[in-house]
Amino acid sequence: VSSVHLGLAGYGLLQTVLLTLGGLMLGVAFAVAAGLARLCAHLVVRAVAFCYVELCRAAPVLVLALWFIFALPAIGVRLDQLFAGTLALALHVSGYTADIVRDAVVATRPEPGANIGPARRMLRYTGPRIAAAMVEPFAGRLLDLLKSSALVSVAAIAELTLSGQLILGGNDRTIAVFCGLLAGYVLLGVCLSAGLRRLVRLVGGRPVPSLLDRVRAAAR
Amino acid sequence: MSWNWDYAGEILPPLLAGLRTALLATVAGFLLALLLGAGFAALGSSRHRGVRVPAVLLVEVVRRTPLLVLLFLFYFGLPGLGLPGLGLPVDPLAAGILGLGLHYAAYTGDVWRSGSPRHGIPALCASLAALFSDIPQLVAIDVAEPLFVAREQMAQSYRIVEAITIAGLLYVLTALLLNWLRRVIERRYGPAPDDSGALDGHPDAEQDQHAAGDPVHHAAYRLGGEQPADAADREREQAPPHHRDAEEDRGQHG
Repeated sequence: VSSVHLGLAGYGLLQTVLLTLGGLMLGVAFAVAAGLARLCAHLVVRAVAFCYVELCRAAPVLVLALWFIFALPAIGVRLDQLFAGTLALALHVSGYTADIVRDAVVATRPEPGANIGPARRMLRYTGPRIAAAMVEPFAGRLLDLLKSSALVSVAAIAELTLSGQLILGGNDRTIAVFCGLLAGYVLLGVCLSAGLRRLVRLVGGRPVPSLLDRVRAAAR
Repeated sequence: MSWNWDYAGEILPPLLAGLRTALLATVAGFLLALLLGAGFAALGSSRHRGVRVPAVLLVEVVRRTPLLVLLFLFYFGLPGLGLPGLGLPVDPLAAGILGLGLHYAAYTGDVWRSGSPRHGIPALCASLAALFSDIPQLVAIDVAEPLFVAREQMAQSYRIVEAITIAGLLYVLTALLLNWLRRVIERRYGPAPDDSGALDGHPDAEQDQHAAGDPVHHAAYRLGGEQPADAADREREQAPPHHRDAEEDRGQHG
């Protein structure tokens, strides 16, 4: 293992974290918009939001990423590659989280007789409660997002998996590199779920068992 | 570069052949996942701790690993092991089916353990749809699915938009069809259960139940902290999942 390899691995790790967090933040913004639009009083807005959610769910991340990176420039729209990858992840994750937002808004009922729209209800009336209701399902999504971020390596964005491939190209120790990749993802996943479990507990939810919990339960 | 319909019609047949390969990989990968999942479930509930712990650890690690990493492992990694008979380059489709099978076995294992068709069938449908949406990743190991075909066509003609758009549309349309079928099945059997894949954000198992059935009732039941949700949670904590399922089934059929 040379310092070049370590540098590559570190760079890939950083890009993976950037893609995951960027995809999450953009995805949440899309999801809040789509989730509220699905509760809108206007039929057209609701229909558009429904189609958006269905399409985001049906379109694989890789298909979106490749289309943004290859087809868009061909029709004259140029995106930064990292941003194109982030956008693909965000669209994908928003397809699933839009319904989390919608359900959370629906589940927090307004006072009887209060006739206010979903957006205002979310902002003014039950915001914190809705946020609390969303944390738990979001936690699951974020870990999925971490894994999905590997896909953009196919579109040549240098995140963790691609770093692994580049290192692989330079030597013949295939198994060592794959063990390193596995360790990288498991480590990121464990860190991420530790933070998320703390957050879920903070809002009074029941966090899902961690890797160690499961293994410990099996050892009993 | 503008859209050329003649060219689009020309590349449609090879792209459809790619879709056939994609569907073949989906079915084969899913069957392998069912088999391996049954194995994981059996080992994970073994009486011997020395068997149980490695099985559970393997499942948990596989769940936290991107599918792509597993695909590379089987495609590039197996020949590198230097085992007799594995020295040759592995067939891409075979490596893809192995990777898909192992990855999804980590999720189907729970379905076997729950042993309840009422929960099992929707969960399996969710896994199948999620597996199909992972098929495009096979392009990374050169399986001849639509994206790979599109790449070949682009290299020949230097036209980009048509091939990649049609390949993407084939995936999206097939996935829409699968999702619709799934909803029909869920209407019959109920939404996918909480505990099948909720753990670490399995692509569909957790969130999709929000989409199925009556959203208002369902959401209130799950998220609002109202009375029913609390009652359900208490019940869940008292009985381990598989026991609960067995009881529910007896109540339903008997």
